[in-house]
Amino acid sequence: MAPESLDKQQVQRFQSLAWPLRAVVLRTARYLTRRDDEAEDLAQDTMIKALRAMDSFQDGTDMKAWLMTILRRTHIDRLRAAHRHDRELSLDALELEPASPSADQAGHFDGQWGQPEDLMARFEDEAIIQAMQALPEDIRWTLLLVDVEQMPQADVAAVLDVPQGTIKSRTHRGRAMLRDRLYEFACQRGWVNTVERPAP
Amino acid sequence: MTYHNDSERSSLDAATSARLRMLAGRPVDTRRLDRRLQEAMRQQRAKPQPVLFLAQWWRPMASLAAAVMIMAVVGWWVLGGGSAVAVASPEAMARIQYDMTHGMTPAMKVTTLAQANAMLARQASDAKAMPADLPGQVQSCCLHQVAGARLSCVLMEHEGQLISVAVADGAKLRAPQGPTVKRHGTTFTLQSAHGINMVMARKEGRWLCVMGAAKMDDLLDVASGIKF
Repeated sequence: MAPESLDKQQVQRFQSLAWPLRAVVLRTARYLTRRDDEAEDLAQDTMIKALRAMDSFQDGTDMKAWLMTILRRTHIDRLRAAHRHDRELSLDALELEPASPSADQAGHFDGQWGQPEDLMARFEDEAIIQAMQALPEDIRWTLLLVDVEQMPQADVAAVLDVPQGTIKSRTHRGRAMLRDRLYEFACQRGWVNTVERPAP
Repeated sequence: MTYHNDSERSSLDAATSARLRMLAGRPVDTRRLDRRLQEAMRQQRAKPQPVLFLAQWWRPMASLAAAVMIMAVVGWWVLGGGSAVAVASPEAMARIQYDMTHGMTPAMKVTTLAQANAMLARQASDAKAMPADLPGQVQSCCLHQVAGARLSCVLMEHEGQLISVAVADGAKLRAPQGPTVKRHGTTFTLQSAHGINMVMARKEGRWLCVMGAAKMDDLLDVASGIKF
């Protein structure tokens, strides 16, 4: 990044408001990118952009939502750059990434879960992350912000730039898709009886 | 979809959401990111300054003084004055307290110490367990790193005040120099930073810190009653 001089007040504001949330940014970046080095690059770019743009942050608004908005845009920029050599990728293409084949049938295994808390608790974090990373980008973002970060749906809608109703439907669909993926893991591990998924 | 009914769907959603929420409690090591950010900030802050007459000789003098100081510290370390036990800085502890009470840290909501211990053990096998009993309503727990040592933390409400109890391996962390008070045979070091009072002590091989905006005496009462 090209060096730019920053005034002291800007840096102090950044340190008091944004710096404490760097772990949240890094964690979200990790769940998005799958690789530690890539996540750190993404988190660093995000935080530096936030530092430069501190003047545009309005007091009284939510810093976490603001940082997540920057993180998402930075992530999209990086995806675009990564795909530039292969093909031109539009923002729409990234945002409207086609859902996986199971999206329309999300929740197929929901009738099999029995005691959902007990089964959920058996999965280690890595399995949950792996299942989440297999979800379409828009769904993954929604679950990261709504369920992992516990952000209000209105804030999530603003970050992802979609209506609040879309967040609600994505959340339900995303949770069901995640459960389907986890149920398959559970079958592979012999925790539950194998159930065939019907052809789409 | 094969939902049996709305309540089943609701309970499945709640279980899924609760499990995802636990991912926010995974410890995140930001040390490398911190170094990279600080370096990037330093570069961005750098502005060409007019060189004053005093600065022309002051900078080499300051460099020389810094070099002498570094050599003195290294010498002291080599001669055995150093210790592998890191010091918990009051500033770092105050930041943890601030982050926990302001929801700025990924914490797991719990209501009992048993839940907290189970959550912490799940996150890291070397996480130190919380004491068996605390005189307040437990609200959340999380893991932190201070000077490379893992810290198990619990936030509780005690007589209307939010108080954090932090526990680490006593062989890895110690209190900085400061005024001390002895209670029930244990020596407590008193510290304060950014409006947060804290009492620190070594108890049964563990390093303990009780902190909050409460009075030092109240924190001492809590800390001296803690048993592992």
